[in-house]
Amino acid sequence: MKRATLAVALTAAAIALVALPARAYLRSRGNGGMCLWWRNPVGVPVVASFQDGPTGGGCSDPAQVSNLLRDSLATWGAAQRPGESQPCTSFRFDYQGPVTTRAVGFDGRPGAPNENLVVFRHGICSGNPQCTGTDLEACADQIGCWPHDTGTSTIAITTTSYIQSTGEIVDADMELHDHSAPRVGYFFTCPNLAGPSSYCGREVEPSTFGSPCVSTDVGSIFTHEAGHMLGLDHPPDKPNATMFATYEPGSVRLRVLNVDDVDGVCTVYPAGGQPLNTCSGATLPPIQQQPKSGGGGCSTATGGVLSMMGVALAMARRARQRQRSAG
Amino acid sequence: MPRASATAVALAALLLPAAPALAALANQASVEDLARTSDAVVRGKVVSQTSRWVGKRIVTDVDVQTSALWRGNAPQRVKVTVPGGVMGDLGQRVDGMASFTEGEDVVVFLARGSDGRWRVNGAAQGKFTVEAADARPDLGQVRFLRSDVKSGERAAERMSVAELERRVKEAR
Repeated sequence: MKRATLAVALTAAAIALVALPARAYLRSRGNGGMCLWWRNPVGVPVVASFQDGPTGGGCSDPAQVSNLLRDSLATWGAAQRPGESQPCTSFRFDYQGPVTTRAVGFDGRPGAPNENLVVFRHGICSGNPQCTGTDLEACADQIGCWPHDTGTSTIAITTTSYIQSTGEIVDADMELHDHSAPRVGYFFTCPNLAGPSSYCGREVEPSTFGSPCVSTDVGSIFTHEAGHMLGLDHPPDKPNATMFATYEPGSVRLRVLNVDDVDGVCTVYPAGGQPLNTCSGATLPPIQQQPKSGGGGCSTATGGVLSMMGVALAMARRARQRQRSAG
Repeated sequence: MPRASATAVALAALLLPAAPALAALANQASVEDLARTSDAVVRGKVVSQTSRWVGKRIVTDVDVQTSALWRGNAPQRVKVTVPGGVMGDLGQRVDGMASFTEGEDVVVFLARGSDGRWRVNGAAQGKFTVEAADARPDLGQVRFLRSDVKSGERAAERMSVAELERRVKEAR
């Protein structure tokens, strides 16, 4: 290797060592590469729909599921660093209880309801006569079926809507696939953490197996997916983190945050501080509050969203101008 | 480009942040499982993609020009609908679902919904990107449960295109 090449390689390697320390958490990014973040992290409202599940005997009481969801969401707001007595984050989900809506996504029309929704899906949309002639996604929002695949693989997903130019999250929805037939969907269980538990198996109806047993622990799923709703991704090489990319069926361990999860939520949303709205670690000046309604009166969802996007783009331009002026 | 500059560019590329990713929770599927449950498996090239609204959701229709039909039946030019996309300055990301880029060489496991639309079977596990003799799914967004891949079968993971084709065609 020539000396110049070697010098470049060594310099770059040195930069890499400094710039890429072992990260304890990973942030989610949008399509444009921006890190995703909530502008107002104190009290992000969440509602839930239990109309279509869970139906299995291991977790069929809506009140029990609702309480578990409340606890799972609260876990993130209670994040504390070791040795501290107060939460280190400003982030709080505000669970507002059950609703009857099933619609996932974001409607930018002025005044349109945009709940951050946790919803169970039951049965496959494709092949369902009620879905004939309509997009499966639209059918799911109408009758509560699972639109994403034929049911053999996916348990839960989170859909995040965000401003492309800033990464600001405007809506996040969690869908969970309830068991409806052999190898279609998953048995969700809500065991009490106080006692020992065993694995029911995927295809064993928990209520017939005996109590308590765990199949797919809905508390673990809630807690993990809520981490995505607030803007965290899977950390590499952190197998004990709630946000790590492996879940062992029968386990309830993911209900409890580990130090890497705490580091994530408390760094992005520090107690008493501004949300970290860039990936670099520096925080941009807060952007003015973006109106969610008013003015346009657009008659279509697309038009409404585009109208709102125009406001966002103008704000982003002003923010960049302020940065240049400051620099 | 001088060698030193090329080295610098390559190393700089290594320093760039990882690709964006969100996450889904899924059971790990085998190639054979995916093949058995698909209406068609095709190899082809992504020609174009267009996003649109379905209610409050954004979906993207991806046009794939088929170069080889490995299994089942599908049109020569198949339109694959995937959830998520960008409309104006609003992005919508549905974690764990396959995404495409124009010009990409792909192998896609397809399921035809009762709405007549083709979709990727098995979410992100059902789409492989082909580079030279190598095929790999983008599983960065997927969080797996314990695998239950049968003996003799292979999980949807990086492998040679030749092996992928063989497994798809021989799946019973």
